[in-house]
Formats: sequence, C-alpha cells, structure tokens
Amino acid sequence: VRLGGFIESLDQSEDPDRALLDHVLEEADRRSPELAAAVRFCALPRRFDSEIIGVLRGTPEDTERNAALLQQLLDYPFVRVREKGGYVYHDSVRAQLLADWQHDERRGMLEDLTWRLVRHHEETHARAVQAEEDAARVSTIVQEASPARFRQIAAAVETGLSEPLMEAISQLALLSPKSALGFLHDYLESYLDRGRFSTSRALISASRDVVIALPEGDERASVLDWLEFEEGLMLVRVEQPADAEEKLASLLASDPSDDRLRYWTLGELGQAQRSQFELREAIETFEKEVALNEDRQVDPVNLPISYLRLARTYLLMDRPDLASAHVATSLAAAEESGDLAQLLSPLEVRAQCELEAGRRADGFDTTMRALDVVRTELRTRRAPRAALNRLLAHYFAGTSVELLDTLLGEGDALVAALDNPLVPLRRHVEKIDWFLQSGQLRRARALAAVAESEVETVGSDAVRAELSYRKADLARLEGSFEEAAEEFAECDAAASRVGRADLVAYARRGRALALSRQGRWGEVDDLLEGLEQTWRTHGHDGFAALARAERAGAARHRGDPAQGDRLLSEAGVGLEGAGPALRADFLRALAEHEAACGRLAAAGSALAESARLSESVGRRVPAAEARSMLAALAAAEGGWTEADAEARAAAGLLRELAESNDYEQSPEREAGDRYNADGLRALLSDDPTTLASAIGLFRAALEHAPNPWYRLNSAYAAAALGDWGAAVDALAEVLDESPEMRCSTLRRRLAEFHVARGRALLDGGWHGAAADAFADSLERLDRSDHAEARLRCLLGLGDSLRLAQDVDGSAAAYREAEAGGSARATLRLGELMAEHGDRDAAVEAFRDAARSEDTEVAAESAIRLTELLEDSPEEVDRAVELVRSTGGPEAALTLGNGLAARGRTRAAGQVYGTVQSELPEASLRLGELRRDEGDLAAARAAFERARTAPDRVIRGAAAARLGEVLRAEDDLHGAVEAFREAADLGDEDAQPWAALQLGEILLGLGSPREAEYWLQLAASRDDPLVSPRALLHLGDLMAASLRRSPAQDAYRRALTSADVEVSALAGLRLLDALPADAPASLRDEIVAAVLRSGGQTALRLADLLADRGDREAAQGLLRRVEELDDDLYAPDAALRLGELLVEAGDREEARSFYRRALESEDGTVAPDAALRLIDDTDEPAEETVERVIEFGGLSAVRMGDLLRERGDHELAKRAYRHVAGVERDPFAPDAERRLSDDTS
Amino acid sequence: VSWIFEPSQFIDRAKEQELFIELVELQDEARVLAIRDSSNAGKSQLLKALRWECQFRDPPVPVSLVPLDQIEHKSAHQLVLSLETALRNFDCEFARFREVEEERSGRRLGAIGRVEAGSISGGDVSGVKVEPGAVAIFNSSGEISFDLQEQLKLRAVDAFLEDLREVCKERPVVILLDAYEQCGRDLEQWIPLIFLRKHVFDPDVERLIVVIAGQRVPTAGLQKMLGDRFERIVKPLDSLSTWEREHIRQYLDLEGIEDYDDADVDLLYEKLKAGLSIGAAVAGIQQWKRQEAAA
Repeated sequence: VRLGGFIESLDQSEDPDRALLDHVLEEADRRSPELAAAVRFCALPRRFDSEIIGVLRGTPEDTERNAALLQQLLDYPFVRVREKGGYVYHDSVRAQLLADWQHDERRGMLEDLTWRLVRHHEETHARAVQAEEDAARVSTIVQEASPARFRQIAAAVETGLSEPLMEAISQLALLSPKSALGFLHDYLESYLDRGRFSTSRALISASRDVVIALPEGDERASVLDWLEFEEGLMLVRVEQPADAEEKLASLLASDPSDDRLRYWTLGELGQAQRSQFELREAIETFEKEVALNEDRQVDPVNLPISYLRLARTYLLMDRPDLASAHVATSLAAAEESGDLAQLLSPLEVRAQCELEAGRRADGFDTTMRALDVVRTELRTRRAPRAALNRLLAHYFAGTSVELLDTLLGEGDALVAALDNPLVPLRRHVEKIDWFLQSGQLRRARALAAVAESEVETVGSDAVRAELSYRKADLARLEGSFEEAAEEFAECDAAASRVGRADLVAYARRGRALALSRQGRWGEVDDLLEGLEQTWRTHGHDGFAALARAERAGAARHRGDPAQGDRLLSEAGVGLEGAGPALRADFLRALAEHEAACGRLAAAGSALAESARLSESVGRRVPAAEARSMLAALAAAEGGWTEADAEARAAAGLLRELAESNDYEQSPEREAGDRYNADGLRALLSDDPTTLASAIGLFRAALEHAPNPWYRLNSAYAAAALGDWGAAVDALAEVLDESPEMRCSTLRRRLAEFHVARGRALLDGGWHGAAADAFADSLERLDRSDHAEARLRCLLGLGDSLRLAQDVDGSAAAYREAEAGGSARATLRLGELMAEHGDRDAAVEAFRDAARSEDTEVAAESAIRLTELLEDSPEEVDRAVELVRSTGGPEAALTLGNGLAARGRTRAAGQVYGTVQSELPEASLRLGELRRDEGDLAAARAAFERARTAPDRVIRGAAAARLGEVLRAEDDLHGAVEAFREAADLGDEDAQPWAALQLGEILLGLGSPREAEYWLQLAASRDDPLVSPRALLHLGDLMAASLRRSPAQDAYRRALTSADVEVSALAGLRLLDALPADAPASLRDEIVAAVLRSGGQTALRLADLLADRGDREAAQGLLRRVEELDDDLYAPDAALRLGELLVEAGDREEARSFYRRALESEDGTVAPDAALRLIDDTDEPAEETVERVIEFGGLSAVRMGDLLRERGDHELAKRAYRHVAGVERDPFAPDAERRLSDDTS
Repeated sequence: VSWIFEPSQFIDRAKEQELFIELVELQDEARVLAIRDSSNAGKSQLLKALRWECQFRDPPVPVSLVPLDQIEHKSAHQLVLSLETALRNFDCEFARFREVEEERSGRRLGAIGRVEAGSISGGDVSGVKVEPGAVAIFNSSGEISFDLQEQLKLRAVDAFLEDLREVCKERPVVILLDAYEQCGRDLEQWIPLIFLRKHVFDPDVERLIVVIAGQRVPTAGLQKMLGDRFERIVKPLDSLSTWEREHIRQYLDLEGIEDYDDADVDLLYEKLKAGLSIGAAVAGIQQWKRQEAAA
C-alpha cells in the first residue's frame, strides 16, 4: 500500500482514529502478542514506566524484559513523555483503549490488572509512610545541616504520600466510581482521624477530578454527592464550620436520594452549626438526623452518636437536664452494642452533665468508670485518657490543687509530642482556666504572660481571642474592673475576627459585669440589651434570660426599680431547666435587686440558694461572695448568729482560695508528678515490657510524695501485669486512706481485683494459696457493698477447698454463697455431693440449679443431671425441657454447647436437633459436631442449613465452616466460593479468617495474584490469629516471585506478631533469606529484631534452629537472650544453652550456664537446671538440690515434684517440708498438701 | 524519545512562533497568548518549541512549561512549585517563596507522629461516626497544622507572586500552561481570577508573558474581565496553522521515508486542509512506515 492510499483508507473509514488504532494493534499482534498486550494495558495507568509494565505483566523481577517492552512502546507516536518522569498515552488513544477495556469479555482482565496496580500503589504508599517516619526522625538534624536538602526531602515525602493513593483512586475509577469512593473512604478515614487534613483535601479533590471525567450516570452522580459530603466533613474537622455548613446545606438542598448520605450529612451539618454556636439550628438538624435513623433504620450502629450530638448541644445551651436524657439513650445503645470503646463518649458526656448539674460525686464516679474501661481494656489509647484527664482536671480544680497538678502533669504527657507550637499554646490556655477555677490567680497570671508572648510568635488569632478572655477574667477576679472591661472588649474584637460567636457573647457579658462594677450603667444596659438578642438568636434561652435579669441593675440605677422587677420576673421564666451556674448568677442579680429595694428577706433567700448552687458546681468565688453578702444582710437585721455562720462559711471558702493562690508545688511533689507522668507514658506503650517499668515509676513517684493518684495508677498497672496481690493492696490503700477517691467504680474494681487474685492462684493450681486469698478477700470485702463479688469469692473459696480435699469447708462456702442467691453455688454443691456419693442430694441440687435463669448454670446443671441419671435420649429430652422452662431455646443451645464441650456428642447432637428449627445457630453447632466426628457429609448439610439463617453473622460463620469442610473434602473451588461468601458476610472474626483461608487455598490452586489480594486483606485486619499467618504466607509468596523487599517487609511485620510460632518462623525466613556472604551486621540486625519481638520468640526460634541441626545459630541466639539478663527469659535461655552445649560435648561451659539458670531462682527453671547439673555434669546431687530447696516457694515445691517423679521421695519430702509451715510463703499450703498426699 | 525538545523534529508553526516572539520582545501591550485547538493538533509540541525558543535566546528568557494535566495536586500551590523549580534554573531569585516553603516543610515533617484517632472512642471502627468531643486540644495537631499548612501554602503562593513581580522588573519571564481544560476546579478559578487579573494584567508588571493552551481556554472570561483592553493584551488563537506541502516533505524526509511521491504529498496536504490533524497525520505516516518495514 502506498502512503497516500494508506492515509486515504484511514480517512475514509467511519472513525479514522479508531481505524488507525486498529492498525496499530493488529500490527503489534503480528509482531508479538506480548507487545500487543503491553500496548493495551499501558493505557490503564495515568503514568507508566518499566516498573509499572512489570506490575501489569505480573513480573516485576523481569526487569530486562520490562525495559525492552517499554523501549518498543516508545516507538509509538502516541506515547508522550511526562514532564516529571514516566510516560502516558495521548489522551485520544488512551480514551479509545480504555473504552475497549470496558467490554464484558475484557472486564475480568481489567479487574485483575486494576488490582495489580492498586496493590502496587498501596505498597508504594506504605513505603512512603515509612519514609515519612524515618524522615521525621532525622528532620531536626537535616534541617539544621541543610535547609535545602530538608525541603527537598519534605517535598518528596509529601508527594510520596498522596500520589500513589491518587493513582490508585484513578485506577479504581476505571472499574466503577464506587470502587474508587470505597478506597478513598478507607484512606480518608484514617488520614482524617490522624489529623492529616492537607493530604485528605488533596485526595478528595483528586478523586473529584477523576470522577467528573467519567461518563455521566447515577453512580457517578451519587459518588460526586458523597465526595461533597467528604469535603464538608473535612471542613468540620478543620474548624471551618461556615464553609462546611454552606457545602453540606447545599448538598442536602439537592435532595440526595441516598438516605445514608442524608443521614451522615445531617450529622455533620449539625456539627458545623454547633461550632458556630447556631444552637437552635443545630438542635433542629440533629433531631432530623435522629428521626431519619429511627424511622428508617438507616444506620442503627451510629444512632448512639446522633443522640450524643444532641446531648452535647444541650450542654452548650446549659441544659444538663435535657442533655442527660439523650445521653441515657445513647449510653443504653452503646451498652447494648457490647463494644466497650463505644461506651466512652456517652460516659464522658454523662460525666459532664453530672458535673454541670451540680452532682459532682456522680460526675467523678462516671469519669472514673470511663477511665476504668480505658485502664482495663484500652490501656494504650491516648485520646480517651486525654479527654477524661480534662474532666478530672476540671473536677480537682474545685477540690485539690495537689491532685490538679498531678493531673496537669499527666495531661502534658498525653499531649502528643509534636512540633506544633499551637498545641502547647492551647494547653497553656486550658491550664489558665483550671488555675482560675482553683483560685490560683498567681500561677494563672504567670502562665498568661508566657502564653501571651508565645501567641505573638505563633500568630494565631483564634488562640489570641481565647487568651484574651482568660486575661480579662483574671483581671475581673483580681478586682481590676477597668482592665477587665478593656480586655473583654479586646476579646470581643478578636473573637469577632475569627468568627467565634460564642466567645463574642461571653466577652460582652464579662464586659457588662465589669462595667457595672464601675457604675457605668448606661453602657451596661446597652450591652446587655444587645446581648439578650444575640443569645436568643443563637438559641441560648438561658443566657438570654440572664442578660435580661442583669439589666435590672441598670433599670434600678435609672430610677426605675419597677422595670427591674419586671425584667427579673420575665427572666426567671426563661431560666427554668437551666443549670446551677446560670441559676446562681440569676439569683445573685435578683438578690442584689431585692436588697436594693429593701426586700431583705427575699434577697437573703435568693443569696442562700445562689451560694448553694455555686458550691454544687465548685464555683467558690461566687459562693464566697454570696455568703459574705448574706452575712452582711443578716447582720444588718441583727441576725448575729446567722451572720456569724455565713461569715465563717465565706471565710472558709476564701481561706481555701487564699491557700490555693499561695500554693507552691514542693520539689518532692514536682518530682513525684514527673515520675507519675513518666509512668503514664510507659503505660501507653504497646511494648508489654514497659508495664513493669511503669509500676517502678509509680512507686518512685510515691517515694517522693504520698499521693493517692500515683497509688491508683500503680494498682491498675499491677493488675495489667497480673500481679493481683499488689493491685489489691494498692487500691485498698487508696480507698482506705483517701476519702476523696472513694467512688463506687473504684470499690467495684477493688472487688474485681480480689476475685481475680484468688482465681489466678486457683487457675495456677495453687489451691492452698487461693483459699487463703479468697478467705482474706471475704474478710476485707464489705457485705452490702460487694455482695456480688463476695459470692464469687465464696465460690472461689469453695472451689479451692474442694480441690484441697476439704469437703466440709468447701460445702460451707458453697452453702453461704447459695444462701446469697448463687445458683452456681447450688450447682457446685451438687457436684460436691456427687463426688462424695450422695447421689440423691446431688440430683436434687442439679434440678434446682437447672431451673436457674442463668442459662449457663442451667445448662451445666442439666448436663450433670444427665450424667447422674441414665444417659438416654429420654433423659436428654427431659433435661432440655427443664432448662427451656426458664431459659428458653437459648438455654437449650447452651446445654448443647456444654455437652459438646464435654465430648458428649451424641447428647449434644440430640439437643441441637431439637432446637435447630428455632435457632439456626444450633445447625451451625450441629455441623461443627458432625465435622469433628468426621461425618463431613452431615456437617455439610448442617452448614448449608445454617447458611440460610436470617442473621448475617451466622450466615457468614456457616459459610466459613462450610468452606473448611469443602477444603477438607478437597473441593477447593467450592471452598473458595464459600469463603468468598464468608468474607463478604462474616463479622470481624469470620471475615479475616475467610480471607486467610482464601489466600491459602488460592496459593495452592496456583492463583498467586488473587491469593495475594486476600492475604493482604487478612493481614490488614489486625486479627492476632489471622494477620501473622497471612503475613508469613505473603512473605513466602513474594519471596517466591523474587520480590525480596516486600517479602522482607512482610516477614518483619510477622516477626512482631504476638503469635510466637509465626514470629519465630518469620525470623527463620529472614535469616534464611540472607545470602551466604551477607555481612555479619545484617544477621545481627535480624537477631536484634527477633529479640525486640520478645524473649519467647527468640527461644522458639532457637528451638527451630536446633531442631534442624543448626546448633551454632541456636546457641548464638540463646547467648543473646541470656545476655539480656531479663528475669523472664534469660534463665530459660541459659538452661537450653546448657543442653545444647552438652550435646556439643562442651560440658564445662554447659555447667556454667546450668548454674546461671539455677541461680536465677526462677521457680520454673531452677529445679530443671539442678537436675541437668546432676545428670549432665556430675554435680553432687544432694548439694545441688539443697541449693534450690533453699530458694523456697515455687522453686522448692517444683523441685520436690521433679524429685518425686524420679522416685527420690526422701529428697522430695525435704523440699516440701522446707516450704510447709512457712507463714509468708504463698506456696506453703501446696507443699503441705503434697506432704499429706505422700503420707496417705 | 528524548526529555529535551528536539527542534530538528519540529516542523513549521512559523505563524505561532512569530506571534510568540512579538510577545517575548514586548513589542506591544500583548502579554497573553491563548491557543485553543482540538486534541492532537500539536499544541504540546508547539509549547515545547516555544520553551526551546526561550531557553536558547540570547540572553535566555526564563521560562516554565507546566502541562496542567500532569501536576499531582491541581492547586495553585502545586502549580507555583512547578513554576519555581523551572524558573530557578534561570537564576531567578524566589527568596520569599523559599523562606515560606522552608517553614512549611519544617512544620510538616515536624508534625509527623503517630497521632491517635481524634475521637474518644477512636475512629478506628470502619463506618462508625466519630464524635470528636472534648479531645480536640490533644489530638488536634493535624487540625492546627492543617490551618498552618493551608495558611503557609497560601503565603507561599503570595510570596511566589511577589518574588515573580520582582524578577519581572529585571527581565521578561514566560509561563507556558498546557492542557488547560484539565486544570481542575481550583486552578480554573485561580489562573484567570488571581494570577492573570492581579498580576499578569497589572500594568505595574511589565514583563510577564503567559501562554495558555488547551482544547478549552478562558478567552470569554478574559474578554469580560478586560473589556476594551482585551484586544490589546490577549492574543487568541482559535486553531493552529496547518502544514504546507513543503512541511509535509520535510517531515517525511525527517522520518527517513523515501518511498513517496508528489501524489502522496498532495493527498496528505488535501487531508490536512480538510481538517485532518497534524497529530493524526503523523501517527498515520509512522504506522504506515512501521507496517512497510514489517512487510
């Protein structure tokens, strides 16, 4: 064909561009299918190079071929060079090829390629996150050394973070706008939560650009709406509420059809309105939000949050009564969810409501309850502790300057250590608040001066306004009313500039009060009149009424007391339901007016109530003022006694304030607070080894100054470490010695510690020590206050004595518990009777207990009954009927579970069969039973039945189990289908598990790409049972495809897992991946990482190495563990090292390690070490054993046990005798029991 | 494919280049060249040629070419970052800008830390709303750094523009913006309303020349904005000139194609006249060449 002819043929075709592209593709197909594929798939990314070609081909390691393909592509005229590196197709060509990809037959391939690219971008992003952390670590040094280099790094980091995500979003948009939105949402949530708003904004804006460019359609429109919402949400979070309101309101006005979107938008719109103090509008919006969710069940999970938003808004309106009602709804829903973390916000708001309603003791208790949840369940979480710290600081500001200082120290420790000048500055402002509240004007003044100079440096108008308000308030409290009035005016101006409507209003009120003290009544009246209107506009009726009331003074000074009467009377109506602080101020204004009008009795009663209300919320200054005025009033009427009492009360308050103001922290207290704050920092660490150091720091704090808070911290830290004895003693001392700390939460927690102490000993097999501990707890726990815990202690005592063969003692304890209403005690009594042959009494007890409302007890009792009676189907049916009579089918299910757990599968199967028509979960359990029996066909049928359950979670679990059965039957494709369903439906347990299974099966099926996807998902879910295994597989998968670096990353992540086996295997893989000629430093670095992940991992890895004959490496590792000299693992390491050295024939060195293991006095190691010394190194037996016996406690008892096993009864007895009878040795009862066993 | 524009591979566009040189030489009041044409018409190639023209003038004219479809974040800040990087190669001093950027970089890296979720219950439960509550102060580093970041970015943009005005007092500066239709929502506002109106059209800024190219350019808006001044200040080009026969021959020779005759050239010429884009023609010729070679 001639050139002209070719061009002519193109031009005459219907679509010349398309015709040309077809020529290109045909020609490429002829040249090489690989090139043709590359021409097509390189249209997908917005930027490509040889690396991306590798990703798309699935051969990243084949760098040579990838580069060659790139070279061939560059010959095409439609490939453009990008200014910042890489290549892209010309728009028109890319658009045509992308349209081809949307054809059905290519869709599967498109999905596969898209996910390859997305994974690649996610990996790049993860590396950028790491690079960012690395850069942050060295930022100070680099910044000093070379600002230019620093800027370069910072820019690279910034781009590195957002660019891969934007690329991934644009890729996913090719699949569907919703895929892109889902991806964006996941990352956005994490970025917004971490306060990374600049990146968030870039992501939203990039997503919008991508989605707008897509063809129009319903999904595109809906996604664009969601993006509008995301932007609005971000504006709310970055404190730009006016912009947020505009955006969200306009989104709502467009009437989006998606209810969920409307619901979420209403929530954020309300927040934006509330931030601008548009309280009335916010309440209306939040009410709509709640109604939408209640009516249409749009998003039940979030209903508690919606109620909480209403509550917070009512709190801002000084309506703790209305707030409390909504908090109660929110709290009930959160409690029902069973997620403890969800309780925290409602508890925090409830505490605020209680504190603001003047119920300070309740408020303190609620705060401590929330803190108790954090301390016991969410120890390392900083944010909830920080929120509760503020509440506690607020509380202690009214009671104890010492504890306030301690809490401020903790608050400082909780502030993330970030180089952001506004964080410490805002913290200063908060502290000034608390100093003012606690009467520490001197310290407030000093800190205000510091803050003022810092605010100038930082240049934040928002903080300047906040600080200005505090300075004005300080001047007012110091009696400098002129200065206060001026400062309030400055605050007004500054707050207006930054749109803080609330602060503007507060500043105007402050100014009016300061002016009234100067007798400038004309200005006061003008200000208050305007203010009343402002408050009303904001929807704050309480403050509007107060402004009206305070205008009475101006009216009076104008000579119009009647108008004053009228204003006050109208204001009184508006204050109904308002909180105590507002009402106290109103009553004060009323009293002043009544007194000025000569109505002294009315003035007196108003002042008395005002003082009481102020005291109830910890406002000592207005309380003292009211009481002083009351004294003067009483004195004026000759009520000397009353005047004296009020003057004394006022003097008491003023003395407290004066002492606060004069308070100076002693060096000891300062040091104590510092140690305490360091202890808290240690608690926040994820590393479990820091717990012990936290306890040490709290103890060091206590050595410097007695302080109940330090002790409380040490109690919880000891509990977290499982040292229940120390926890009990410390908490008991806090409650005994410090009345201010007594609250029901801590009393309840003490009871829990008591129970846990006994249980831990009992579970450890130390029955004697457990019985003593329970008996001690029963003596110390209050009968009425801790009735429930006492019942558990009685049960524990009964269990301990029963195991120690003290039948009478055990029965007595159970009977006492039974008398207290414990059905479990009846069950235990039945068991005891059965053990001792009293069958009839046992049957009676079991029958009683089987009717219990506690389904577990009922089921267990029914099981016992069927054990005692004939194990016939009829008997099982009777047991089912018995438990059903009170507990319903759920109790029968529990009975089935109990039978199954005891291996009574026939009976369990019968029970499940009876109730499976009512409870699909029974089918699930039946399936598990059949599976365990090996009847896979029956199991499959049961799981299929459970798979039709209405409950999504049961369906998910059934699908997962079905997948397991199918996998066991080698129906791998069927298993894949089932696990996919489980991954889609399952709860947070089933989903990652299913993903892991999918990953494993697909690996076997030779689909590494999809396997990788599921393994990535499983690895990302942070499930301790799943994630480490997934990471290990991922590492293997990547290593097999020569992606060494990501493989290493995966192994390194697996190495840090809590699963010792996986962690050790990961360590082994990392060591194996080292080339033979790798420098020693690399091996050392891996060993160091293994050690960091825990001594247990290192010990297990040493075993693995030793098992495969790599004794030298095992020895090296054990030596490192041993050198750490850590009480927990070093003794074990020394023992194992000794054994390895004996195997290697080095008995002398082995002896030294055995000795070290022995001298560690570790109860679980020293006795073994002694025997090893005797057996392997010919140490004198008696002398060596004696040495261990001398250690006493567990060492001696276990030494005895080992000797007894070897048949050396005499030496064993000597060991037991050494411990028996030693009063302080907690193992004495166990030694005694062994001695008596031996004798009998 | 070379990173650097190779002028020997660039054929014609004499009319556009002349127009551009008039602008660079500040022969009249015109400061903006607005080139609009369809996809594949060769706009990007032309802009590269204009950049080359500036780079190799004597003395060189500071120039920056930004394909707006290729910048990572479609924001004014990102755009000025790209502009500054290129202009710095001509020894233009952007001291104020660099000072703000250094401060911003410092803050940004400094603000990195493992900041926990901002809500008391934690925001780590997917799909669950978060209630920021009272913890803002403790975890608000991001919010605050966002304020600072955004403020500093705005300040950086302002500082750049201020520096640019200073630079333009000494020498002409050329800014070439390609793929305007893909500049995104923010830049679609910023380029005409801030950059052009307040700086390029400011009579005090005498030596700043801007070329905007795309399938869509803001000519109508600029016309409204400038009124009578539009004719004098903006040179709109609604389509690029096409090749003459000699240009076609030049191109075929450049490609090393020998097997063509006058009829082929005539036909190509007619097609170009009838609306075939130069890009499409070039692509067709190259494909023919490839197929011939394979055959």
